[in-house]
Amino acid sequence: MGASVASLDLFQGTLDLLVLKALSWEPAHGYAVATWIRERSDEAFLVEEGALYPALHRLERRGAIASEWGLSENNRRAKYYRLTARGRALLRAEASHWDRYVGAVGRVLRAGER
Amino acid sequence: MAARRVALRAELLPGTLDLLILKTLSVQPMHGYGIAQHIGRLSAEALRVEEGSLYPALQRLRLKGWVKAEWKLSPTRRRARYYALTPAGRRQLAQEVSAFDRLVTAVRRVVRPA
Amino acid sequence: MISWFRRLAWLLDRRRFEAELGEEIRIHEEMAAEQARHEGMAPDEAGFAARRRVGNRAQLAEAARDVWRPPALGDLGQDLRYALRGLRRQPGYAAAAAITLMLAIGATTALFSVLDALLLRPLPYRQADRMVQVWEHKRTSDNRENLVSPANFLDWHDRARSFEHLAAYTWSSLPLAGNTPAVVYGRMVTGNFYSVMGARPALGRGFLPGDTLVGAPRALIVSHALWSTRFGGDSAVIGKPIPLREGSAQIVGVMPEGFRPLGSEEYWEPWPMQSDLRTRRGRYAMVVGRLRTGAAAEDADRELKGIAAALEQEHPKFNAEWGTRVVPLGEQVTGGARPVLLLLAGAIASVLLIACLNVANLRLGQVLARRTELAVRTALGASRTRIIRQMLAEGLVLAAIGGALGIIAAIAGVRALVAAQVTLIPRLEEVTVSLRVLVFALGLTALIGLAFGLAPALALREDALRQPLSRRGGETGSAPRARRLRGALVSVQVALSLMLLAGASLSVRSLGKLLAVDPGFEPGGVLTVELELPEEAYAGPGRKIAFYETLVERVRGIPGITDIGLVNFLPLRGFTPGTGFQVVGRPEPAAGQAPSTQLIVADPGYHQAMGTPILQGRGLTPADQLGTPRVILVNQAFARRAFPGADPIGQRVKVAYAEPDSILSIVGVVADMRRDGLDVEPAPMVVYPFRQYPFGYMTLVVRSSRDPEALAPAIRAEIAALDRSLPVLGVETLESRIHATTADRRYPMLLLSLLASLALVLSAVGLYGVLAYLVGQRAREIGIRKALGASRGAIARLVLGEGFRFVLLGVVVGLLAALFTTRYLGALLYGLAPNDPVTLGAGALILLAVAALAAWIPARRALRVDPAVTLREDG
Repeated sequence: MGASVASLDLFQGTLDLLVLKALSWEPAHGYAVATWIRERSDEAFLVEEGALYPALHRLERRGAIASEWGLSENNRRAKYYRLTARGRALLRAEASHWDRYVGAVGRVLRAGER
Repeated sequence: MAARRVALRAELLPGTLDLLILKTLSVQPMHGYGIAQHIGRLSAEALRVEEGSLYPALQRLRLKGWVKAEWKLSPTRRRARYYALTPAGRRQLAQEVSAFDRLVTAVRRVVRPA
Repeated sequence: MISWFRRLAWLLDRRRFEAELGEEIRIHEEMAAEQARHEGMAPDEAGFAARRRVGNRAQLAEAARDVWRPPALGDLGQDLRYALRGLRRQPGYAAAAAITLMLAIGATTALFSVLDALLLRPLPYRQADRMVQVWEHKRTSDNRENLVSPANFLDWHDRARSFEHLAAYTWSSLPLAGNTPAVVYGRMVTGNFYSVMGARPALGRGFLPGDTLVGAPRALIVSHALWSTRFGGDSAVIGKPIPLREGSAQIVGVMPEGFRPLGSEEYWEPWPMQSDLRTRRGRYAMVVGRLRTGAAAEDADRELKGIAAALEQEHPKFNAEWGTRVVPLGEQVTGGARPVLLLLAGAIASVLLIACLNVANLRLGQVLARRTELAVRTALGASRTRIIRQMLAEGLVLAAIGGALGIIAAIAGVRALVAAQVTLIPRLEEVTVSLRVLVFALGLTALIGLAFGLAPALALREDALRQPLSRRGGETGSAPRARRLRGALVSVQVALSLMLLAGASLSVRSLGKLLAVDPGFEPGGVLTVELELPEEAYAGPGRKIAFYETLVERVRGIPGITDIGLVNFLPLRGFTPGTGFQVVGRPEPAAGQAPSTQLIVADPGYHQAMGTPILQGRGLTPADQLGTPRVILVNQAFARRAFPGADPIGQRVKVAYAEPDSILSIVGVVADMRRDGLDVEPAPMVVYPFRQYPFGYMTLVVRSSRDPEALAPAIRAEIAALDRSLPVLGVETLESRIHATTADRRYPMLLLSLLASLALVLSAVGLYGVLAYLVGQRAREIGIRKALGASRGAIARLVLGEGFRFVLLGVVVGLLAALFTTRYLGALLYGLAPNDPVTLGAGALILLAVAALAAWIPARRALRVDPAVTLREDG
């Protein structure tokens, strides 16, 4: 079957990180979060519902985001999420953690190159 | 050895581990212990390889045909199992490195401060 | 999937793997301890630290084992659920795919059932492959399956060594008396018939020598069906006398259900091979044989040909130019249908392929659209194996749904087919969805599922999965390739459709030409009624003539009847007797070289009732009767054959029939009729006057100005008025007779047309899908061009150009393929060459028109693209 794609999941937190960043602008419902991520990444990331909602629930469980019901643009009931203070801190931590991690990996990868 | 360690949670997860192992072996064939040491050293101890993940990872890479294993005598006249990259593994490494780059760029685009 | 081989290696040699891993870990610990000591730790503390670092050894070993073990089946359940969810989210696509697959799998399964019963399953006789049928055939004639002379049969029986048993049979009829008089048909069979068949009566006994003694009641073995319907399935009827019109019969045995090897016979009675059968006079028997173990059909064929050659020498007058032919029974039963069935198999396989390509195209389009999603899923944690497994699951689920529905449809279809009693298909009653067919259907479904699941995954290369789109509307490396693949699929569909369309069109036109053939008579408004006068009640010519002529006069009085006549054998009944003739005054032809003619017996009103003109001389009149000079009519073919360029009226001939030495004068020439088939050229024929050769078995031909079927009750009443107990053998209009003779062309034609239409629809859908996708992909480009002022024509050309290139490619390939394959239509063609350019050209035009129709909606959408909107979306 030739070369297969080894999963390059840096950590599950990548998605968490993206979601937190998305909500750092303003509260939004799930669909808007996915749209934001998609546009912001220039179509690189299409987050499927199957991944998005578990991530949202995970973050909510950890207290990083809070939710409440509201009305969407086309007058439908939708669950809006917003970043809590804890979430903001988590975002900073995750972002820097991610940076360091990626940096460390990069250092190994660049070893031997001029 | 007071290196700034990445939090335990972010020890190398399977995908990244595979990548770093392949990179390590691209320099020269090595045994398991040597690989762990190499990665730790190059990342300035930011990344720690757990033996519990290292050896299963090496098995996985063997299964996929990206590395091959051979019992040899180490410089200290000790018998050890050495791992080396196969041509397929070399190709895989190149792909994974560029994929990693692309992923990092995409995430940075989303998470960039603004 | 090399990794699977490695997994296998692990499975076979686990102990060594585990031992090596254990040693490797130990070495790792040692090295770590050594390093720690090097860095200053105390030795045993170093060892302890090293061991702690390695951690739980058991867990490590387990993790390593997990790597090698084949993936857990629990994942499969999740994949299936995910696949079902995906399908539920796209009901339109799922429905289209499932229905397509259902039709394709259902049709293929139904056809396979027929093929299985016909070609794969052995005939339901003991060791059926050892059974053969033996025919005579005249070397100078086309008919290779001529009836056999009983005398020749007896000689074969005595001399041949290749057969374990050789039996002969001929037709017989049974006039049952009682409350509902009826005539049933059966066979007279020689004593060893049941040995040949390898069958025994289910009830009662077989024939005994005493059954054929003079004065004994006719001994009968009846079929299970006759026993059930006529005698109520009562076992007490065995041994009791059954009243006939004259005398009685006795049922001695009943055969098992379904035993009807010779066609539609209802009973069997013994045919004693009396010595007078050895006089060579007439060929009216059929012969079946069981080969001796070790002998092949070819050996028997050769041996019999040798015996026939000897018989030719011994009885030159009768046997000159006559040979034999041995045919294995299986081939005999199914032989005629085989080419048509194979043709239909090819057609259905084509439709199946088109359907599968359609669904594959649909999926490919789906997968292309989900490219970026897959890229991210890959990045965020799903391995390629996992994704492929999920695609496979989707493919299998679709195929399973389509397959299940298809099998159900096939079972229903086969039941309907058997109920419809399509006579074209021999052994029809044996066609069921057997276990072998089910296995075939399931295998087909699984194969399709695998192909669907894997194909899109393999078509997209791995880097495509990893490469996210860098900007909207652009296309990365794999997309043009995938687009070309989709276009190629459409080309194949178009080509196959054109082939089917060509075949269907040719067969439709052939049927039309066949039906346009002038049969030589006017079929409209004619009813025929078949009668047989029992010999005992109507012995002698006088009584037959009296009955029939009285009947004719009475029936003529029924209002609405314009013409009425009598004949013994109607045209298009598959049977006309023939014999040799000789023109008086010409040298006697050598044995076996005498020209042959068909012959019928008719009354003066026959040709008028049939609407066949008398072209020369006169027709038959009531004056032509017993005691007056013997006269005959001949048809044009006879005149051309015997008297080319000369006037046949007044000529005299001798015909080897009835009184072979009496001289017959030709008094008239009648127009040719198609007797043996609409597609068979008329053969020479002579017509004897009924009054000079009255038959007991005659058919009333009645022409009416009203609906002929409506006359049937009145005619029956007249018959009953003359003789209550005379059964009517058959009532049929000439139009339905013509209809029946074309049945063996009509069913394949209908099926081919249906399949061709189906293929067209499927191809149109496939083309629509590809074009719609193209338009969607290039919406931005179209908007820009429009903003820059491109004309509508240019836009249309841009979008449709690529799609139509594939269609044209398909048309060209299809035409070339059709040129090669239409010759296999074989017997279905009539009056047309397989490469008839008009038909093929029309087919190509129809296809292009359908393609244009399919392209209409996407084209309209392309023209409607609002440049302002697309540019704004660009961001």
